[in-house]
Amino acid sequence: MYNIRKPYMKPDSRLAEIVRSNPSMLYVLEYFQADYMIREMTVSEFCGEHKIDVNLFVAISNIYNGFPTESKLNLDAACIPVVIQFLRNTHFYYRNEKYPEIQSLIDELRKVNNAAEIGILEKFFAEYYAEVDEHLTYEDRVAFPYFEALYRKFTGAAEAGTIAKFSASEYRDHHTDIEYKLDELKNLLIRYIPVGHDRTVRRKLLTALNDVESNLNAHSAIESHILMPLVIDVEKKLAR
Amino acid sequence: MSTEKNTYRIGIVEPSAIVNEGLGILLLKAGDFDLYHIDDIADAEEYIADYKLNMLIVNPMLIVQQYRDCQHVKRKYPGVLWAALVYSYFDNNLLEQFDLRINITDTPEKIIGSITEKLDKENHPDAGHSEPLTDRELDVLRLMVQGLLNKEIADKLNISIHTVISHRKNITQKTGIKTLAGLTIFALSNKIIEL
Repeated sequence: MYNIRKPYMKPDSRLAEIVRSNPSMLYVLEYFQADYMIREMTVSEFCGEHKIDVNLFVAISNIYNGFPTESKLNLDAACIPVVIQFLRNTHFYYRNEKYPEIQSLIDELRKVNNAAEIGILEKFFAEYYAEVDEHLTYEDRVAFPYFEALYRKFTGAAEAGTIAKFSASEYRDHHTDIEYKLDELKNLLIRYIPVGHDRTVRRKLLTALNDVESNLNAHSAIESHILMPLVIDVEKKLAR
Repeated sequence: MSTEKNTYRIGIVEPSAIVNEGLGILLLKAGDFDLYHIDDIADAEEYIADYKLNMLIVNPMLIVQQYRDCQHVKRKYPGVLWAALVYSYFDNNLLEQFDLRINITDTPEKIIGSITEKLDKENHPDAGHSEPLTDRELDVLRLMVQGLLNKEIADKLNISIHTVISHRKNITQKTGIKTLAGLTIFALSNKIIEL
């Protein structure tokens, strides 16, 4: 989870104050596709303007702020497509911004440090990223469409047809593996990669890895504490 | 090493929201835990299966009320540790059924310490001893990073596959590195191999 403790958000908090004290809120706004000229708006006013369920916004923001999720969120099932869109936007950020940035830092590292270990690190990262990509694709093409179909069925918008099966435990295994490899990458950089003239680029690389790590942690907390309970609830109601 | 960054998954089975959230915040502040608030024992089984919980922290009263459910869950998932959250007098026979007791009057440090210690002991019995690799483990490591399979390593060193696997386990435990690429970097940077 994010390691800096920030003010806890409530619906009547001034949004600007929260964003000012916690830069990771910028990601939350971006993934909700909200631009900001927040002025003196409270969180609920901001949500009203952007048509975002305020309870969902608060729950997600507090995850990014590093607070534990309340056990009973009582979110509306209509949050399902919104959370999915939010998560799809995080995928876009990983694919098109963060991982390319990490890749280019590794390329830079290679230019200033010619230790043989860097070549292996590069390969390691390529394999790791292939796994991340596979997982994101799995979510985009299997998991999310399954949840969306379930939601459409729930609202009566779709025929009660067959929905492609999806495995919650497989979903979680992916996560564990991705988190583990990212941690190992950091571990190798800190402990074992020989030093070249690379202090600055190594710091940038580790900072980028830390960023993506906390972002991924928030991503999986949203999935396990917000999205999955919503989906399980809908599944239960449909089974009745 | 890898054990430093182990996220344990803990279910708190406690009907009181104050106690549940309070303990949850203490744990989250102190360490890397994933927490799940569970309302009663009957739900615990589902959580253990879905989220692969390492530990349940349980209000002992619930065991009295739902004895059969408890026994069933315990038998089905023997790997899960049960911690009693003791906030009033409970019969010793009851508390003996738990792997760990947490007294609500203990300091947060003591509570976190005993939970972490118990979980580490259960999950990494040898953790904390960062010994150097033995000669045999170095042999196995050299062959591993050349890309040899367990069977080939066993043949080369004249040992059983079973022994190779146990060497590999020890290597990972001692270095904190699991992947082959990671181990190659480890071996290179410690001059165990050369390219």
